[in-house]
Amino acid sequence: MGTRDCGHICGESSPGIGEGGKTGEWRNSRPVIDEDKCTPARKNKPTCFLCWLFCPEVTISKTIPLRIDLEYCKGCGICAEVCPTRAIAMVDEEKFLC
Amino acid sequence: MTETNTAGREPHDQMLDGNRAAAIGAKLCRVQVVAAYPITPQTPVTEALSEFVERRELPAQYITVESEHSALAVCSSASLVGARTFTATSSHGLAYMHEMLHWVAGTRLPVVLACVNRAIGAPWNVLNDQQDSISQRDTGWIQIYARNNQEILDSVIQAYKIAEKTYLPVMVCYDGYILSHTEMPVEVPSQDAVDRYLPPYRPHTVLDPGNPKNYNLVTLANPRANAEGVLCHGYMEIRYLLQEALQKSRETISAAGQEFGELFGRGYAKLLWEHRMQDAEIAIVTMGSLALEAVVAADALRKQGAKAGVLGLRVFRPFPGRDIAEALRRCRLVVVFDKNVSYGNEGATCNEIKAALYGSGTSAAVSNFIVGLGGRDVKARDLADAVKGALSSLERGALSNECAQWICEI
Amino acid sequence: MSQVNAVSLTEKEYLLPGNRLCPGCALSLAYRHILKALDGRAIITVPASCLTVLHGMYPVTSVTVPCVNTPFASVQHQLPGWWPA
Repeated sequence: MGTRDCGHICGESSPGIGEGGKTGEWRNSRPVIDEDKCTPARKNKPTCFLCWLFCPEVTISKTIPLRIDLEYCKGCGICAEVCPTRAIAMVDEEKFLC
Repeated sequence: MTETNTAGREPHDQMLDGNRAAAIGAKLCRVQVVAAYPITPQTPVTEALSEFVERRELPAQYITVESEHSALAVCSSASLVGARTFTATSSHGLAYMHEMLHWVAGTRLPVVLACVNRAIGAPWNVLNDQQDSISQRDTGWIQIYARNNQEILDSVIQAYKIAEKTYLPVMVCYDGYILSHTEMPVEVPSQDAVDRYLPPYRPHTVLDPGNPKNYNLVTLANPRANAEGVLCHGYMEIRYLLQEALQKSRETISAAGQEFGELFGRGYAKLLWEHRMQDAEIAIVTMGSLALEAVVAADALRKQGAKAGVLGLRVFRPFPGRDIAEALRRCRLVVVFDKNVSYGNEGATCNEIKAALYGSGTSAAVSNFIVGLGGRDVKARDLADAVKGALSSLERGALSNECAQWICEI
Repeated sequence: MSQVNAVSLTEKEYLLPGNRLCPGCALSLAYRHILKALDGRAIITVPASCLTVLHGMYPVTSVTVPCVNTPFASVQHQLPGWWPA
């Protein structure tokens, strides 16, 4: 079965998640949130969410508790940097190998 | 000043130079966006179109740009969102937009471009030859060469029909000065008839935030599935489709020409035109305005007892190889006059004709002459003399088909 | 256009996870914020650049607004073509 059936006559792309693959595989270290220090988790109120705002990969959800999509998180560490209560630690992936 | 009001319901004759004919053709096609940069000898086209827009005879956007590259970029973006667009250029201008020529063809946008054939430097030369458009024959554009000003106007109109059906850009080429600046009687069709001939343009591309698409992203070597799991093209498949579209466009070009004939009285069903070729033993092959001289030369040769005919290439891309082989294979001698050179080899049309004749079972000898570069005048007598020379070499068994001969003063 | 700040920025995302940019790319972050500030009311024109890479390889894109990729010198010429058309 050839590619003709896709119907494109030029390079026309449609939106999709994971265009570059499972970019979580790029990680050297992963963010781990300490819910005792995370302000929205502690107060159970929608507040702060700076990590959500500053994630370049759109992998942190604006929810309580915050969830990080590890399939696509590249482990850049910006969330850990911006967290005002230092609730996020970047932990080496080695620790999570089974 | 020639009258340009084409709002009339009836077709009418005007004395038009080639540039004016091209501009009026674009106007009759109700082009919506014009972006062009002036260059000798194309400038009067841009001037005429800007006049039409200024006088509100043509409700189009005339976008002033700072270069030909930009001109085609603007045309491509307007075409992408569904506007009928037109541009014109020559020589260095066409060279300047070379990258965009590839881009427009690859995006499959039905842009129409009038190329007023002019020599390319160095050294500088503003006069006619076909090196400019010939140099762009690999870009994926349909190329039509006009013989006279009537054909220029008619070809521009057909160009939109062809382009918007095939989603291929079309270049209408005509010789600078010889046609562009020479007035001849041209029948200007009525606006009504053109409106009936041209349906509205429906783009295959869409920029809609409600249904976002990204165009011309990097494409990989291999096919790749999209987010729905449908296998989509690799680069090669997209390019295959471009080639396929060009090859198939012969039918569309012919049908558009046939329909043009039914509506306007001048038919263009064939990609080639012929003069006394039915029993011709010697074929003179030309492209563009050299047609008239070639016909005069063939008639003169006939009077001298040589069975000469003329085969003209109206459409150069897609290359009508099979039709050419069919028309030429029974000839003894084919003499191709090229107003261009593929440096390091020979004239481009001759080279492609030889390829078309390969495997056709022909025993024709093919002889190539390079003529008219940089506006060097070519008389019918020059063509006839060249043919006679080739014929005599052939009869002496001394005809070399290895190198093109140049008709010049070197 | 009304004032938009970090607090009033829309929660809607116009970038999708899984692009090919370097981990921690400032362009990715800036682009995410720009598209939020515009609330997706944008058509993007992209020259050959990291932004091209962000937009992805055919046939999938990480961006949910319409976009046209162009050669270098013609990026700015998309707008004059779109605007009148």
